[in-house]
Amino acid sequence: MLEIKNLKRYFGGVKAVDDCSFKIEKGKITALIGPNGSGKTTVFNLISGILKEDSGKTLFDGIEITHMTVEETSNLGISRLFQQPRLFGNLSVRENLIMAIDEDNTRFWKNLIGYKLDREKGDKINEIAKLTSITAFMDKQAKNLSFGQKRLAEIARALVKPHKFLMLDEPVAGVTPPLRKEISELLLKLKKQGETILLIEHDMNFTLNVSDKVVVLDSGKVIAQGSPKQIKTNPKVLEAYLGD
Amino acid sequence: MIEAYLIHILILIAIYAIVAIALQLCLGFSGLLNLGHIAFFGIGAYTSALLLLLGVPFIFCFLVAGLMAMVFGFILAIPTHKLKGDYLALATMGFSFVVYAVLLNWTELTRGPLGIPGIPKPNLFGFSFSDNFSFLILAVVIALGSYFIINRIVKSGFGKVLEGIRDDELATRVLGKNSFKMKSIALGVSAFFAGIAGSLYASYITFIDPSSFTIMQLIPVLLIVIVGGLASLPGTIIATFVLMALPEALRFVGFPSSIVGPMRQILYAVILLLILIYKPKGFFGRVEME
Repeated sequence: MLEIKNLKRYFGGVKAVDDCSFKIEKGKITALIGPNGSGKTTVFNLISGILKEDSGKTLFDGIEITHMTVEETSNLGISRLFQQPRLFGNLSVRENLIMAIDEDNTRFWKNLIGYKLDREKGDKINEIAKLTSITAFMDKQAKNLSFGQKRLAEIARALVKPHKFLMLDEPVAGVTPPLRKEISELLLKLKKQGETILLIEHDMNFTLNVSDKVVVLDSGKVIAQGSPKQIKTNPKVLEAYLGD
Repeated sequence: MIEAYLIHILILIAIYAIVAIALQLCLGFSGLLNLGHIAFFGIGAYTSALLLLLGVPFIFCFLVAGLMAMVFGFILAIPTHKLKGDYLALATMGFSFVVYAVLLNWTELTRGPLGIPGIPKPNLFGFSFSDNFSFLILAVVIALGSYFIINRIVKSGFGKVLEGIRDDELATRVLGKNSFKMKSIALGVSAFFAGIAGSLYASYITFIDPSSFTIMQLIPVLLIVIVGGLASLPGTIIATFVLMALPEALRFVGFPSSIVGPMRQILYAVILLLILIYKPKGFFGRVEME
């Protein structure tokens, strides 16, 4: 589904991503882990086109997306969640979701004349709202939500956006343990439905529970990859996380 | 006498209402602090005036005024699309100075500081809007039409994407919305309405000169948008009435006429300060200024 080849990105002297290569398989949950500053979010930003790579290639479904803009990669079917909440604060949660699912809302004349959102899309929004348990605050302004509610609403928005591949940057950072459990169950449900997910997470228990494959980054390099079991006992990983 | 005066004020209110809701589309809904807005008003006024004096029918001059301003709106969008907030404000303000300098110095075309006198009153399908009452009806109809169209834009999905860009541009792009295209259209449409308002203004006053289109003239419009409240069209209309009518009261206080002008500026400045301190959302605003 997604393949990264020898990706490099330096910020001045800092090698944020240094010759990084890995593959993501369809229908699996892949986790990207590593200590703080190991380049995980930079990899995300390189894939989604927010940052430009110094060298290397990114292929999505066989199409090279290396030099595409943020909008182009998104419209190929990549949906992502940011580390910080980035909802549209002055819109309601429902409006946030409608904006994500509606692909005609950038067409000026069509909007001026007026059209109705397909019923299927409306149903899809309701279905995902139920799945992510945000139905109770669908009509609240997004900026008035609590942190956990924002997180769920954002996951919902990433889900309703038409996509083939989902990237989640720390979906459970800063949320309460019960919600963390809820989100991990949600991810497993999504996998059952055939979603392909790339995940960044610091919480090892959470990550090892939900993922099929783990890629470990340290100082911008891939130091290990494999099943959660292999990663748990890999000496290199233990060293990167715990020191000697 | 008092009736004629009232009609005059109402005509100005209708014209300013168009300029203000056009700026609201940019500033309140799309988050673009466009201080070049008055330049579009000027481009529209000059385009329409020059064409009218060549004998071109009003309806044509009126539309070309809007389209010409829109073209400049699109042009302005290209170099400024990566700028935000204060930087965008400075760049667009620079644009308004450039337009002012061109109007002032391209004397073969614009007669420079002498201005253009004797602009004909509108004539539509054989009906002449030469008396002020019929002009008022024309101006109100055009203002209502502009309100209807802009209201439709902001209530549609398109308007929600513009609001998304205002709240978080990167998040909008990550959802696959081309923010450059969206912002260009917002700026272009806003410029179009400022342009047609300029056309009405030129034909109403029948005289224009570059000094009518400087940043000083933008301040009342900006004030209307801020007092009415960001992202509220009804608020903008109410604020237009209040802020256009309020300074008129100064005429009746008995100040000498040389003081009325500066008093007006002082009044605007005081209102702006009070609003920013006590009511930063404006009276009907949904969005806080940043």
